[in-house]
Amino acid sequence: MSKIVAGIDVGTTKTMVVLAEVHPGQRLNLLSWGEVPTEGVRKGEIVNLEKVRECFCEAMQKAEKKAQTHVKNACFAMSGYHLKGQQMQGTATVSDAGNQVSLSDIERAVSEVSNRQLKEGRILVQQIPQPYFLDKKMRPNPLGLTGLELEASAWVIDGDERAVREWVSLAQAYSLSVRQMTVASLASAWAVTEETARQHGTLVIDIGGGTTDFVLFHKGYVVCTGVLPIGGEHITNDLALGLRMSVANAEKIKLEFGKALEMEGDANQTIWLHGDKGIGDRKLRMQAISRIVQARVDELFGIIRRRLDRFLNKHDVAAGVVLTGGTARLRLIEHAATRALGVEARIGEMPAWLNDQLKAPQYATVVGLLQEALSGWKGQERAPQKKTGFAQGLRELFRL
Amino acid sequence: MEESLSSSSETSGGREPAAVGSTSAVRVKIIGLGGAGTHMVERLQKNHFQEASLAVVDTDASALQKVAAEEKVLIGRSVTRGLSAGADAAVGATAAKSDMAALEGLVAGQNLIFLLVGLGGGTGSGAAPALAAAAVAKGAMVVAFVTMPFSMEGGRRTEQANTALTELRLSCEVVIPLYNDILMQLTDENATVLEAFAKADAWVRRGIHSLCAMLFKPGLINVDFSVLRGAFPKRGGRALFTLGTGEGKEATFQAINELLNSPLLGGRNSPAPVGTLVINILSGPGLTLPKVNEIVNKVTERFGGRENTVLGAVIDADCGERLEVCVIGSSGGFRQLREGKPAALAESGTGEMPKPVPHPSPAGMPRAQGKTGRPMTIGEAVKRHIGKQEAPDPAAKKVDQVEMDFDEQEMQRSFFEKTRRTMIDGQDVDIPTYLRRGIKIIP
Repeated sequence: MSKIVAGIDVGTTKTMVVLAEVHPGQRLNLLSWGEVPTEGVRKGEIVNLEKVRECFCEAMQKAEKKAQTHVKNACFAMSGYHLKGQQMQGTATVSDAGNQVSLSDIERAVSEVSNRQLKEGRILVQQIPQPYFLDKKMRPNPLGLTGLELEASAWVIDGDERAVREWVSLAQAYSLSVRQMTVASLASAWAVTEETARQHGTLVIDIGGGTTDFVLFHKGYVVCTGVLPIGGEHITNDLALGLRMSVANAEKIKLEFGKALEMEGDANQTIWLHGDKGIGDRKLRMQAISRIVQARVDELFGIIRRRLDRFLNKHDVAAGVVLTGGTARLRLIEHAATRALGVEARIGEMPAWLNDQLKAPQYATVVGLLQEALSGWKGQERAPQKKTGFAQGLRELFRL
Repeated sequence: MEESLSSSSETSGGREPAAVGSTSAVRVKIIGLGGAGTHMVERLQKNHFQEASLAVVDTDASALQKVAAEEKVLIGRSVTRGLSAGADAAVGATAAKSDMAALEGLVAGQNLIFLLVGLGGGTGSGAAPALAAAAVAKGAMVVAFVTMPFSMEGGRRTEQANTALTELRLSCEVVIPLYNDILMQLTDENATVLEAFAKADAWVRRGIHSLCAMLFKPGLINVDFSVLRGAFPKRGGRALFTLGTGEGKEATFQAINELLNSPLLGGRNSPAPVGTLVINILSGPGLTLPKVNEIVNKVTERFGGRENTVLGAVIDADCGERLEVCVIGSSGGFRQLREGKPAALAESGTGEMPKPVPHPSPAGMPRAQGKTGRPMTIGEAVKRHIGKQEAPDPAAKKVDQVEMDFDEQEMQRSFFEKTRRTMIDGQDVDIPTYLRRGIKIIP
């Protein structure tokens, strides 16, 4: 039995839909994709729902037309500054006389985590389970073990109810059922990291057009996720203001000459805005470009560093920092990240099986969604088990 | 203590004043408020504004003592006992309230008041709105130059400054914010903060000088006060302020270039449509009408003085080969468009290239009707506001001003203007990092 699923990532700059046939035998068959420049989204938040809906439908139609199919199930990537994550805990006293952990103990601990009331106007987006602790010792699978007190915890992400509903309404307008809603950072992490890296500890940073989404793994579990409303468009805007040019020209300059670090030769190097030396063309100092970009990028990593604080060290993030998202294409950005974060950073590699055209970092989120769907579907075929918390989190289907 | 000179001094230039009329009675006062404002006035004094009288207002008695100005007003003695407002705007506001009579006396009988304030601190941020409101109530036109604090100075100062700026915009005809972050960009690589301030002084001085010259000096095209004032019928708008100078053969080109690329424009190629444009050209005797036309065309093409353009062209022998163009514009934001009639635009400028030549009207009647510019901008604006109700009578809607978005730092936010502000660690992260960090950029 296979099912066709759509991975959907409506970003600030582009809307991307990828259709894939998911086979239970852990095979994923890419069918088609549709990419459309997004309008109506700023900094990961919808400012014009009508426009976003048009873009989304266009992308869906493109993909469906190419694949000559209609899709019903969707995996949706969520981003936006309104998303807030926090660690939630629940405890249960082991009920068995022999102190053996039973399934009902686990369920009690877990339900305490998930039954937390959210504040008015907030809605649950994703709950990512973390390992169990039995008498303060980490036990990924405590069932049958002996102990007195069982602790369950999860990284719980909630969002502004209106914003989340707006996003979901996009899929609904296209008669799609959202099987899974995943925060963009986690989806991207699926695409650009291996299980071993997540075990050793890694920080994945997806720098998109309007937002930067990051997720930190420790011992294979998600310990923190976050969204910052800062992305590549900020670099463009900074350049437009600093170099006094239009946003379109600034974007061009960013792509062509932008560097995340100022280099020695920059002071003496000049470039031409258009290169045709015609009307409106003018000389620009490379140093100015580099300084503007460097300041922004450095600040961005600085904010992430402060957010993660003590978790961010060479020991806990042994597998290093992985950068992805469209802005990961910025020259020298991995060096800027290494410098600002104090942990070795690299550009994430996309899975080898992927179609070459989708291997660019801006597709990490949408590709990750499908990979996640794959493992999710896999899980469904098996008997439910409270095993590795992480995989279980991916199985959880979020319906609205 | 009313001792302001109602100067109409016929200064250099020599030609007969073209349209003196009411101008001779125009009373202009430059008022510096608070620590920064007081210092600005003090430094301005060296420039001898013959047409204007100078006054300073502060809560700090010792600071006032050190300044030499024609008029000094100490406010809030009962509140601060002659000390500073301690960077607390609430204290500044109370101080102003407690000495309202003195402030009213200061502004009474004036036609044009230049208010110079450094926002962010206590006296400036707290008392400026009250002083401006008093001036307006007494019938004066108020042009405020306000400096905005460095981002590095912290969120509280920025907040106080933004609040005061919003209030000022509601009462003054023109409020020109000068962002220290941006001013810093204008100085040399290793410049100090003081040099950045000096830069601000220079802009303010040139701005005041240009407006005064427009009113008092003889020229090709004179503007009388009522016309200048009439150009700013609305409140709450955001101001456009830019200057350019040039010298020698290329003077016109240089001046336009500098003007259009001024960092104070926030770097945008297409700022929000401006409802009103006041263009003043200061030049030596070599100024010709074709030159004036060229300048006006370029300026309106870029900024689109839709509702009206007030044009002044002043001949000043002191200028020699030098040419200086000053543009002050005001817009109530996009919502003003309801009041502006697109039809009027259509008739004056077709969307195509032919640049309508403005007719510098004879002296005394200098108002050049909307020589409109960039059809694109207008088109965009119209598009944005399509669907919104249109008020048939241009004059009917004035209350609208209040609902206009007072995005104080929008010039710096540019692309993100219309988005919700995101503050992270006390900073508005949509404003370029280099500006907030004071990193020098030489484009």
